[in-house]
Amino acid sequence: MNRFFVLLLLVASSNFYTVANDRIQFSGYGSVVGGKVLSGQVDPSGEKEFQVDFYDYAFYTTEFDFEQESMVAVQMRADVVENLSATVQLVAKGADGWSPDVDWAYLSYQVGQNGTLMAGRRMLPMYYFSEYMEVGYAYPWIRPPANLYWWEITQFNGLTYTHSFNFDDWTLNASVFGGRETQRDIKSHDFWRNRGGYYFPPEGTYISGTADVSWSKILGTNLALSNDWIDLRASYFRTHYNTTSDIFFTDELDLNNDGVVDQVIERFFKPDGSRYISGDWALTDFDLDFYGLGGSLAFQYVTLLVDYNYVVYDDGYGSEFPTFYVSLVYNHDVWQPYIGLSSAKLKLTKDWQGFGIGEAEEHQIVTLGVRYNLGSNAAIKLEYNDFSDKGDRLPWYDFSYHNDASLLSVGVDFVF
Amino acid sequence: MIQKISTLAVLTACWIGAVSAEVAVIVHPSNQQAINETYLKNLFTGKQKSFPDGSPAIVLNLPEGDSQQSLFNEKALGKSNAQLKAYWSKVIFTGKGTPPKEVTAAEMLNLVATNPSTIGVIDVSQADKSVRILIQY
Repeated sequence: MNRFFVLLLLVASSNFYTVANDRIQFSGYGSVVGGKVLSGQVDPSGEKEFQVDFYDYAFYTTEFDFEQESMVAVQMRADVVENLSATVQLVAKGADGWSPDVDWAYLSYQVGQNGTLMAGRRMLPMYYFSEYMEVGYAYPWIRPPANLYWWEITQFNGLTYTHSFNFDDWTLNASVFGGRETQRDIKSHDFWRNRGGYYFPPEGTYISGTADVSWSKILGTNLALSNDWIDLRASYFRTHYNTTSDIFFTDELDLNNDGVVDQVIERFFKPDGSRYISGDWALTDFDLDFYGLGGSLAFQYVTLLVDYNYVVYDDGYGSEFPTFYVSLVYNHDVWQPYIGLSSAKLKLTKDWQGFGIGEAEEHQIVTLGVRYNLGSNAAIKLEYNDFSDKGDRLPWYDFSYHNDASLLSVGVDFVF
Repeated sequence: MIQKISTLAVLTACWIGAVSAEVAVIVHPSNQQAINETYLKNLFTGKQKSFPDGSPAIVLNLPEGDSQQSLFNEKALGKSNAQLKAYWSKVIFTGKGTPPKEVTAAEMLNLVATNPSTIGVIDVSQADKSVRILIQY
């Protein structure tokens, strides 16, 4: 927590509001969010929990907590030479112990009047709000729906080329992107492992600690079409999704043959000294296709936000995830009350070792809230979320994070 | 008849409102291009980066919170200051662009009068012959 205040103090004292000079610009954003689970079913951990960020392993319990989603980010953009700029974004999150990470670092090259080539580390453009899902000030709610925005991978290293076309009052932004990303020691996998298992290794094998996830050969496209009241976006990408984890085997020794295990030996290393690693099979090594269509329609007083997505795994289960989100926001001068519904489903389309096919799980979040703009640099928000588990049908298991829970959160989002 | 009078009164009020415009969009006198309101909106929201003739446009704003700028945002862009800030937050932090540079009214007049690539907003009473008024709100 101390680091957060140090960072805030730095921001406040160093006059970041002003442009340092014409070549270097500082800006930033942040959120202070607190929340508390009001009611729900007890998870296997013994707590009533509401998961809000899978990537950073943030969740609320019945104890009020304001470190799970509080964060601050500072962005520096520098003009290197004509048409070439460099952008770096440092992000410190409460859920991550306030240790600052370089979330973004890329070079941007202006190609002619309407083209931009970006090389480096950026947000992966998946869902409609993915590219700015952490910039709370830019959207009405406290967070985008947690049951959709749940991936371990949210950024990637690679190239993006965007070209904009203007015709009449319409603008079309077309982009292609490619790259890869690896996240190591992901805590959420440890979370799942401790609460009922994540995937199903052979008997006698145990997944040890956290897992590493890599998305390689990412290749995709975004098409965004907008005028002054409609903004539509179609997105597609494919990647190779691989999850690995250190594992160990246990040898149970019955030394005096009395039927009782006397000694357990854990074997982490192969005879050649390398570690046992799980992950090279059809449940943890497969291709992923992502399809999305979303947008916002701004009417005189009401804004309608929608997002429909379909994710297909070429894995052993033939997993398919249809998800959607719809939200209505009323735009008063300073007040923005809103409602929202998000829904996610998992369908198994291939029979994996007799596991069966069919709809395996489904969950929804109903959201009610209000945003109040404090001037033009900060907004205060109060939000209620009701997570309902629509059933973990056979052949699937009941994952703990799918239990019913309701959450009350309050937050302040700011930009500078 | 009463209804007709009141309609007339409303129309007159609108007309007076139009005449007592307070904020002007200005360009260099040599820039004689016609720019419609949609094009203007696209320029000031960063969607359009050049003038209709294809030459690059440098868009300038008055400092944030300036009453003339707020009026322009409201009338021309249809956005409150907070809504516009939310829009730019999205653009800035996704690397899609940068908002118009902010300058004082004096700098605005000087820059637009001397640089044919610029376009900006100013209190209509401050717009002298050194600039061309494109439209006023």
